[in-house]
Amino acid sequence: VNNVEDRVYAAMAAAADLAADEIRTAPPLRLPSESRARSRRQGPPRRWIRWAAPLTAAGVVAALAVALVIIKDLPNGGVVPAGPSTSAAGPGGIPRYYVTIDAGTGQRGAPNTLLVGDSLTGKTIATIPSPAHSPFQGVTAAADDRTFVVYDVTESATSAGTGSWFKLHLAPGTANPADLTPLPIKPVPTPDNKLVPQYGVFSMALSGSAQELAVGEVPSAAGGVDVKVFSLATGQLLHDWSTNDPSIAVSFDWLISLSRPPALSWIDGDQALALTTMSNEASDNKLETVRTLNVNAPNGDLRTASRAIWTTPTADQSGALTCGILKLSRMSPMVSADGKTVSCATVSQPGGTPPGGNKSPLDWAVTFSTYDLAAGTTAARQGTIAYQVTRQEPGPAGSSGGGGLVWVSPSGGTLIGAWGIGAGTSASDVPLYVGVISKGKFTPLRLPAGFTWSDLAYMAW
Amino acid sequence: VDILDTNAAPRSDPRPRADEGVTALYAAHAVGLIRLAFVMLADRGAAEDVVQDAFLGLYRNWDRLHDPASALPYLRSSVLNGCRAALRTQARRDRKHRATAALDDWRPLESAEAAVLLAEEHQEVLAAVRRLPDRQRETLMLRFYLGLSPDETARVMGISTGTVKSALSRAITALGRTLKEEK
Repeated sequence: VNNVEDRVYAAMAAAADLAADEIRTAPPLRLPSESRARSRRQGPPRRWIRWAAPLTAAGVVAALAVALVIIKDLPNGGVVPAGPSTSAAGPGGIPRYYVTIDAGTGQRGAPNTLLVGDSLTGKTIATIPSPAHSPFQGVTAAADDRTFVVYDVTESATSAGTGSWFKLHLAPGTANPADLTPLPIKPVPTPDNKLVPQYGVFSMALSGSAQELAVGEVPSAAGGVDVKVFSLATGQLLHDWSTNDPSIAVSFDWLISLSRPPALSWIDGDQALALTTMSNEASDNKLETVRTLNVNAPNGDLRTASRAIWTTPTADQSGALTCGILKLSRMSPMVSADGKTVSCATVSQPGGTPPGGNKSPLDWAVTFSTYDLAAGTTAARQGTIAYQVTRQEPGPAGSSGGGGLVWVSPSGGTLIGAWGIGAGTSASDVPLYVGVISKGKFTPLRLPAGFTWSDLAYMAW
Repeated sequence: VDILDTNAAPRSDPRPRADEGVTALYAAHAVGLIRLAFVMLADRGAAEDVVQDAFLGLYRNWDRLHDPASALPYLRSSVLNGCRAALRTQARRDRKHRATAALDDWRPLESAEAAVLLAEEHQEVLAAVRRLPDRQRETLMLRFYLGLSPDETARVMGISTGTVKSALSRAITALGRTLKEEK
């Protein structure tokens, strides 16, 4: 041990003593299930908040209870009838084919599977296993209902990896219904510790024409946001904007999940991008903002090349789980391709937490709303309710509510949404409804048996 | 859309549920981790927030934590990363508010109390430590503050033991040079 090490040891020991004097206890741990009751100094926990089970973490009792369920609005009883197999579109005019990722074990580097489904018949038409140590981690769709881009990360248990893109072309009814080919886009580095990622791809969007791929990326551990546009044909970087402005930020949570939130989408005939970000202010008053970015704008500063078209607080005082909690949940608002509407899902407890806490019936509401952007920047809570389901659930075993958007039609008039309300404090306890929302009605879709919230997280239509 | 835990696989092992496991870990390690973050951030509130975030991250990823023994290294790693992000935020705020580019992005124990309680000798060393690159600084903290072995440090930082040793060596060399120059 040399003199320098001695001095470092001594300084560290002195700092440790001071810290020990200063900090003798820790504040109470605030787990997500305590979200409504606890202090909101730092905001609610990020990922589980939509399942706002008003229970203390240690108080969750997995006891069976007789459900006193008051159903104010149920989804239509039957599923959308299957039409003739020659139909080009899916039920209700949605794209017929979708791609999702079976997450497998979720273990780092473990393989998973692409699953191609037919929303008209409810059948799986193709499955494609990922290469060993290269799980699929994201998927995005073009407007032709045939072309998708898949993001794949090669990784090991301990070292950094690289992310690559593949084109998935569907040819239903043929001997080769799904063909996966590498894209010539230069691979990107991915973090070496997925549990605490610091940089990487947070979102991606394939243009409606399937000619260009937009990629949202945190470029380094120092933060910032980059938006890049690549040519699918050549892999060439066509456009590149970046910013370190703290008002245009993304959450590390977006990098943790294997799924990518739909923070990017193409609008205005592929002439612009909609980008959802949040402010990075160290307070509860984070703002979530949808910006438009003209792809013909000069490369360079993302802030000056884009403009905000919709802003909402990330959470309201009542604790309702609004579309404005992107940081917390990836329950992203989705902008229609015509650029005229933004839609989102909100999970709330209209009656608040009753005095009896988890022993009392709880009201839950999942609301799908659409906001008109025609007049420019629009505050939250002025949208039109596209569909709302409310239920009352008993509390002895806890209850949960969740919801999210999966797809929005080019005009914003039709949505694919998912919701679940039920007894229990995790998603696996609660029935999942995925369906088409149009003209105030929710029509469940045919999905493969065993389809879960996890599958939904990776879905592209 | 991402509903709940996207990667949870059915489990058959009898380990604790997330809330139970994380609560127990918090009881055992929160104070120590807050002290670590406090030494790095010089801000008790920020330190508590960083540690809270680390435990929430663990809670969210509980089903992906296949080896319970890796929970503490994960928490330490998460705290280090949280501190790094907080320090950058502090640095940006300080640059903005004080209009000075000379501030370092690490400010351990710069409070008035610390200035009184920490001997000048120690402050000088810590000031030199804070000017080290991220990896060297964090390696030093794990080895000298927490007393972790090179293997444990490597596990927390997600790098090889050899890299830890070389980072530590470079850090000591750089510190020796800095402290000598300041004499």
